[in-house]
Amino acid sequence: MSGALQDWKSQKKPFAAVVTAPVFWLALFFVAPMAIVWLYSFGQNAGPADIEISGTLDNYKRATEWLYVSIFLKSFAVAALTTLLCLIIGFPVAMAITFAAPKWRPWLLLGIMLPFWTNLLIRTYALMALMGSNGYMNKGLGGLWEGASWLRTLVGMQPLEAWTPVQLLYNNFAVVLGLVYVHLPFMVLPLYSALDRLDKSLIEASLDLGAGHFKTFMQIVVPLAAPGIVAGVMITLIPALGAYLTPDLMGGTDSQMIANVIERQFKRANDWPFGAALSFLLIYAMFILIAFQSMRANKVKEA
Amino acid sequence: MFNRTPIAPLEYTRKLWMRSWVGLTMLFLYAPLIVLMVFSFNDSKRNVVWKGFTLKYYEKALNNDSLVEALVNSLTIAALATIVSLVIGALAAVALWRFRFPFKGLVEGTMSLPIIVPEICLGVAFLIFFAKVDWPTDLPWPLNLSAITIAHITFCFPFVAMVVRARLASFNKEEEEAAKDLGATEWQAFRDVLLPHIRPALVAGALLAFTLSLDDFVITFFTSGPDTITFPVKVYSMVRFSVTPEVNAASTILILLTVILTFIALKLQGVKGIAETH
Amino acid sequence: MTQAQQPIIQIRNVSKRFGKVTAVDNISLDILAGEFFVLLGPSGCGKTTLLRMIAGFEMPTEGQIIIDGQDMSLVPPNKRPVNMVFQSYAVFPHMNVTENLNLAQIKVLGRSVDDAKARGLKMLDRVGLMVHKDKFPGQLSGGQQQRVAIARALAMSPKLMLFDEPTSALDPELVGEVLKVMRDLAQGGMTMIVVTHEMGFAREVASKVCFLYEGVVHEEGPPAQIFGDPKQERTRAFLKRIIEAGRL
Ligand SMILES: Nc1ncnc2c1ncn2[C@@H]1O[C@H](COP(=O)(O)OP(=O)(O)OP(=O)(O)O)[C@@H](O)[C@H]1O
Ligand SMILES: [Mg+2]
Repeated sequence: MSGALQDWKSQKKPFAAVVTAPVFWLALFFVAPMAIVWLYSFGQNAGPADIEISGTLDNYKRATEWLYVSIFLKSFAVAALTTLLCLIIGFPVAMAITFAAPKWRPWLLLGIMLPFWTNLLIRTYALMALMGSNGYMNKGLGGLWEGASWLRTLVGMQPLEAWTPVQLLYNNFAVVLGLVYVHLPFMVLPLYSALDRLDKSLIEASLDLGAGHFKTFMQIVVPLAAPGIVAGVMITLIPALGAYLTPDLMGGTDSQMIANVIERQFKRANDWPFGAALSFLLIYAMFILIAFQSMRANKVKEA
Repeated sequence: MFNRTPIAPLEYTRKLWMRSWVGLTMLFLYAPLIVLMVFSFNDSKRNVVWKGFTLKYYEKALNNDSLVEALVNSLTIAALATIVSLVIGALAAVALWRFRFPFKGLVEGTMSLPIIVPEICLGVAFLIFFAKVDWPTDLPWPLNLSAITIAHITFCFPFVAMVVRARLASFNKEEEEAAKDLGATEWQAFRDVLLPHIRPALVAGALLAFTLSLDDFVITFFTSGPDTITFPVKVYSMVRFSVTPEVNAASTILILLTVILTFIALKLQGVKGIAETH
Repeated sequence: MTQAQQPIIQIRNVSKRFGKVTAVDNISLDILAGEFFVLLGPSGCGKTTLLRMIAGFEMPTEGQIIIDGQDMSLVPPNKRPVNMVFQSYAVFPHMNVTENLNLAQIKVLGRSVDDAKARGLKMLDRVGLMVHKDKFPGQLSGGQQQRVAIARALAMSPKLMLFDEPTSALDPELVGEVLKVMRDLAQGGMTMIVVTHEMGFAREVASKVCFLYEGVVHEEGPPAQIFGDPKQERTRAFLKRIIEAGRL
């Protein structure tokens, strides 16, 4: 950046012209609503449509019941698993894009980005249609099953009994698969931008010194791409932790994540103060994750 | 592709396992969407078997008044939210880039919050807020969309600000000062020097805001009243019941819209430019 | 050095094409042990490509590269007794100098930590960087980083070292220190193939100079002949341009 920042006092009019609208908007339509939620989390239902902010901590106390703690833990586990799978699937893809011939690279990138721009609900719905009991995944599995059955008759064994469609949807597996499907592009893009910045001659130097591809990957590529890996992990983990749509549409009764519980407090159970408390607990969890990351980043900078 | 030169060590993309990996990933990402699009033309209520080409589900979808209304609502909201986000976001970016002022860190931090805070929490906050202030719900169109639009602006404009600010970092302030030396007013300098410089970021920001708004389900779900249905909310309620070809048709229309928007962005910026905004 | 020696590296009719571009066109060269072999030529004539094929980063489209009597044309770089010094240093930025030197010795050659350390320090001493052994690359100047890279390659006891414009990314005042290390290496008997634009240095230290033009060996001979009495018109024109640019 060239030139220093200007002090607002020296340019009061232009300053007021640019700063008023954003700050006003932020205060009125972001800070105020959040503050109300925060206040509600210390309140209780005083009537059918009346909430009294009494300063009670009951909502938070209730959130420490095992039922809710376990849902929090489970949401975290599902989000972590999703992130790990995205990392495992996404890393080779990011490598492939980085080392692709220049004429291919933009198209591969576009291939990753196009789903990212496509409506989330439609993507989830498309995946559901594929996984339904009449969907292609079941057809494919059925085909495999019949193939296996045919092989058995070849070696003189009893054929397997006829294929009955399995329920692929409405369970935890479906939720993780759906979250991976939705979040994969989020992981690949930061990984790619970290790998793209990595000096290729470092990889060559490592190979040149006698390390194989795997050693080079572990000793050189991973440590140097660490900022991208961390960015990718955060950018996947945070939305996955707060995911609502995927567990709602693809999960079963036991795959509820924290966002679904929050939704229920507002749309069905009508216990707004408790829902507000859960919301803020989720927000605090995000803050802790982000604080961890920035602590790590600072440490790296110091070294 | 089939040349015989042995694979050099860094030509990872030529290795078979790597190609299969990328191929399978792309299949994973695209197969559901392609199947959905193909079967929107399928002349059968049950989705799996191809029974012949038909456009009747498009006809049905386009004759479904509430679906069309939802789509119109979504596009209206996205357009309004984009315009306002663009203005507020650009102003915020300029303010943060240009001035030193008290509580700057606080403003900056707060502005990044709508990006980080989970959608569900933001949705809940708007639900409570609009209930608390008794936001009128029985206004005529398009005013009845105001609550949703406000919510969308709140989570879109920080993205615009981010994109514009990244672009401003490469601005040469001397140019602006030179313009002022030549007698231009603040406003003229802004309009003739700064604005042209940030135009690409404004285009990118607008596309980003538009897609974010069009894409949003969760926040809208909490903010919308019974009469203000958006496209995602409508599709959601249809999907809850069953997978119908009509939803496939409507989804295909929206996917094509996305593809067209992406290609416009591509024409304007090149793939690289778009990759960098993310 | 006697001519009867078996060449340490034999390049046999090697060509490299990138799509339609022919970067190296049917080159054959012999390089003897202990030689300081300088590659010259205008930009884009294929010097880097040739070096990268010897190191194993590019595979020749045609022809063979025989190192120490073995055909290594298709052997991956980690299995070749050759080490390269890069224009961009390629010192690992997340490891300090000692770790840079020891890692490959321990993980690849299987040396004990103590042996690796001892050898690493010896090499570091040779390039005059003993005092910087605990620093990270980011704390060193370009010239120092390049010397670390040389020491790192030396620690692996290579049969042959390749240098691709090792000083062209350096500030002028840092060039000398790297050239001095290379000169010492040459006197110590290391076989080196060097691409450089430092003509004075090449003329003084080289045992053989090879002038490449559009992927073809145009002229080859002792430095006195190439620099003093070039036979080919193109060599003369190239040297004239370099002299005009004030580099000889
Ligand atoms: N990976 C590649 N893909 C396509 N063409 C290449 C590639 N590497 C080199 N080339 C082409 O091969 C030719 C020789 O390049 P090379 O880098 O070997 O030249 P050079 O002699 O090292 O030049 P310089 O002095 O500029 O470093 C050039 O025309 C170059 O454009
Ligand atoms: Mg070169």
